[in-house]
Amino acid sequence: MRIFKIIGITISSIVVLVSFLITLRYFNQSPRGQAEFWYQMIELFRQGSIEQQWCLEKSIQSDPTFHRAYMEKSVAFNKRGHYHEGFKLLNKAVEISPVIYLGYRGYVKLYMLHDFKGAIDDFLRLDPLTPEVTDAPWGEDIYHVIGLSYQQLGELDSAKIYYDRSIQKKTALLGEEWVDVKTFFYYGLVELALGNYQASIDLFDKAIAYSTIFSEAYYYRGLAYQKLNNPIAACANFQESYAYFSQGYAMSNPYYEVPHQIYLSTIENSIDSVCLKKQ
Amino acid sequence: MRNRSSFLRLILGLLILACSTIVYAQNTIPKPINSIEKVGAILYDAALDNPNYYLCDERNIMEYYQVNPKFKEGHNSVKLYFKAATKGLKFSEKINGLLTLRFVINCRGEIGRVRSFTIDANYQSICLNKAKIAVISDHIKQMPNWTPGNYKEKEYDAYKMISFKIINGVITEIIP
Repeated sequence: MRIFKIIGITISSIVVLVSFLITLRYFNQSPRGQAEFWYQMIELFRQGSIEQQWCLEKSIQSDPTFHRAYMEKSVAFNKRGHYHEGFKLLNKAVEISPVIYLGYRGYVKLYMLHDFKGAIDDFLRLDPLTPEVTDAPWGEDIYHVIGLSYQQLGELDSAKIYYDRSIQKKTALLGEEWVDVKTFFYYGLVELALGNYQASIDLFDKAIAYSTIFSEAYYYRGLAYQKLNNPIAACANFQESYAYFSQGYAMSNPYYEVPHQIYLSTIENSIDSVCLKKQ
Repeated sequence: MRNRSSFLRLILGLLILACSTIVYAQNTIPKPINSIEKVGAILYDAALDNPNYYLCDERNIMEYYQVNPKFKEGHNSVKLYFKAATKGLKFSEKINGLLTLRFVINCRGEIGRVRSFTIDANYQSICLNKAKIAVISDHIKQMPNWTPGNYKEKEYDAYKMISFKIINGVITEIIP
């Protein structure tokens, strides 16, 4: 029994000592240090939980210029449709550190809220702030997302300018194989919408050359062939698209519908209307 | 001094590690929160909600991005449903913004606890005609055939939202 008592006292003493040292350390820190302390605490809790939001609020209170806390606090609100609260926080993060957060805010506007003009404003504001590097908002080339925003807005000529820039810059820097295959794909969709069917096929060819499982590129290449009155090629592409889509090779995102996302029924309808007619 | 600082950081890190038995970083899989309250929680309101609306686990209602509840084929089916349902529905011509309806899809695929939020083009909260929001809300409640959110063969209650982009009072886009 005595041994348990000794172990208990020892553990309790260590806990008290560590707690004391942490408290001492906390109060000896600068406001930024205290803000970072509370920010580290969020790792203990679920995103969007009351506890995590409380830690983030403490972080902001400790240092109202600590942008990471504003941004992190905004995330759960924006993921859950409370955009007024989410953007109040995210705007504050952008105000403090535009270089870090303009790209993320543009990404949220583009993909989640479909505020394409707002997204373009953010991306175009970010681009000249870092002249020495090409930005990658949330991992995508900045000229790609500007092109996509213009495309979604229906300004197709502007979209082409930025897709071209994305391809040219990446090719010059690292080689064409480093260009995002989605840039070729969305550029192909722009050409398809403009009625430039052969140009769109050439772009889908590139997308497929670099990603042979790109079911969406096969599908839209099929549509381009259909427009060119080539049902045999159209059908073959729809079949390829169907095969890869059925294996799970499809663009999707847990948070939002991807621009120009396709569905199994979309492909099936095209197969029914083109392949059956062809026979 | 520096060694002391590193030591304290190490202790703090170990404490955090010891306390967090589960990795919290992954947000797209269901993890229990064991609380009714969280960002975006919709609490029962006797004035608005059906008292008989069933929930499998009120303290662990997941988010749509964790368990992926589905309407028929997916986003395309949601858009198709509301394209017909909101045809002819007009708000004041001055309205430009985003109407978002957030609701719960329970583990049986039934809908309840619908709430709405609207922002203008500058992301400021605005109020819309309640009767017109009620039309959309009723359509949401009547949506059939939701496949409840699930993960590893377990079905969950889940929050979901659908947004409606409004330009000059007209719904121009459905964002599922």
